[in-house]
Amino acid sequence: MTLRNHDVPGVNAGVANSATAIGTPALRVSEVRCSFGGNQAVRGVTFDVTTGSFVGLIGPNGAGKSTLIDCISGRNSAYQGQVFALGNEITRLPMYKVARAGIVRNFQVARPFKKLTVLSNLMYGPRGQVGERLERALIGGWRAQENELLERARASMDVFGLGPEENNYGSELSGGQERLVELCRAVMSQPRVLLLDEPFAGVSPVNRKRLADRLKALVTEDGMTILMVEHRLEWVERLCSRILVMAEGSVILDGTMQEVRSNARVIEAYLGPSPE
Amino acid sequence: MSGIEYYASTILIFTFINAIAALGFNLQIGYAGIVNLAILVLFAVGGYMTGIAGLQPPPNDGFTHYIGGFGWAFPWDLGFGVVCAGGVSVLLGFVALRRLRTDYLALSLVAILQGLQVVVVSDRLLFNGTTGLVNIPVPGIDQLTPDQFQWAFAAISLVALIATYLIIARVTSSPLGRAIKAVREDEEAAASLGRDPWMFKLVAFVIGGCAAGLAGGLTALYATGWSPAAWLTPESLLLLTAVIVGGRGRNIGAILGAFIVYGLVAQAANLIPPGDLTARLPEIQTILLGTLLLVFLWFRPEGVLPETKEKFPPRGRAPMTMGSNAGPLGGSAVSASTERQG
Repeated sequence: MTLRNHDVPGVNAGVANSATAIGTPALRVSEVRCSFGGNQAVRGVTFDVTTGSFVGLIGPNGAGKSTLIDCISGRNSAYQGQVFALGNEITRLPMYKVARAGIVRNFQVARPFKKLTVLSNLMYGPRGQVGERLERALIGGWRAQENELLERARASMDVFGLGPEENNYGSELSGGQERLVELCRAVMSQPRVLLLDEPFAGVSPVNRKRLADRLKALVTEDGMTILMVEHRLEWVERLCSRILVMAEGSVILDGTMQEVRSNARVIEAYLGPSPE
Repeated sequence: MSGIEYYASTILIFTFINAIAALGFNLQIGYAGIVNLAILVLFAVGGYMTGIAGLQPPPNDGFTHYIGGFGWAFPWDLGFGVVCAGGVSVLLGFVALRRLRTDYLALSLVAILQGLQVVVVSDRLLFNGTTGLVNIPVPGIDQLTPDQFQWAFAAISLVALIATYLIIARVTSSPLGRAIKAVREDEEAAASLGRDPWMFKLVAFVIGGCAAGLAGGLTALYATGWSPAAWLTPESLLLLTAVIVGGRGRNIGAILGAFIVYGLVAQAANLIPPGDLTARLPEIQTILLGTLLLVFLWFRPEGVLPETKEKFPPRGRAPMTMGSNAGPLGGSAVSASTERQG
């Protein structure tokens, strides 16, 4: 069964939203700068991400990739510059407002809700649940939507073999399972743009392929936009049509994997300057 | 009614009332993770506001001063107390919950509790200072015999407890309850999925505050009075112990904890034979409660009835939607959903 984003009435609209103007980038980052003390982690980064594309963000450790993701997602609001999502400015908005604008992320260290079960974790994903409103919680009328979400959640778990873990707490999972639960939860929210920070870290080899296939399907079939930070270049090459390379807080290359492999600056960023 | 029966019925009434407060406190601390050490503020607001709503305007005797004095009958006076407790909860939510976390939140709430106690005691014009409110009208006190009044008030308290339980249980067993727990677990992760953590904490805080206000109002009605002595800080220890012992994050656990703490442990001190220790009963009671709390925190922190996992229909069973013939893949469930949403 393909992991699709069913258009659940009353929850989120389908990710291929016709209201998105043709040509409007899904994500626009403009001159974003971020410093920690005296260290400039992100230096004037500017790029657009086209709607329905899968973009990789790579670079050596300390390049500023995760910091950039934190800025875009609103986790870190102490930055300069501007960020736009689907044409709407989200600069320095708190994380929950950025998520409501359609940008959802995972975390570099997976963060499932530890004292909620796997199934409860996934059921929390979708926004706009009528049962989260106080009057509906008291009066009722949320069970039909809950049942639809339950189907989606279980289908999502089954893709990655998480079905047997359905009633286990988030604290009882392996590292790879935590990662998958967090990702499935994020996808359940039907974001327009998905920010992924090392999604393959800790995931078992068999699930890596499944995850790669699912992420690809989200882009090609559901029109989702993905910006993925990843160190495993084989997955970046396999999934991403475009790659941004960061080093020392700046984007040093924006191109294809072939261009990345042959670029001297990229090689120097990873391997250091050649001894002269 | 014999002395033992009167004593037992009084314990039962106070146990029911404190179970209501424990339910509210459990929603705040157990489900939402808010260590609200100012819960007594809300308890006191309920007591005071119920009192000034039920009392007639203060007499011009030069000694008695309080605001209000509306002369409302039961249950409107009690309802006023609950609404006011909810309002104060909203204010506290804006002041403390918005920006503060964990330790700082707990400390700020304690400071608010202490500050309000000082204000209420110092300003006689508000609630009659250290004397407090007396002769609060009680429903049925004139129409019923003392025995009948005892059992009638026990019934009122029990009904209020059941209603509070049903309301809080509806919340905690819904997606709203799941969202409140998610915010408790990880605010940042919850926010990353589009929820404002503060709003969900505020909902839990206010509902819990209303429950505390209800308990305070019932206490004021039963005691026919309310004074600052009724909301001393050690009272928070009783509530905290009840929730910890009974089981955090479990509504039945909060009720059980109230029965254990108020119905058994707090009364155990009264079993001490009259003698030299009689004057020390309040301290002995506090030692017993503190010991009980420590024992549970060390050996059974989850309480007698631990928090349970959220329950969902098992796989393969048709979804339980009213009026639909939905199969496992939910075709009709979509129609039912459309019908509900439309």
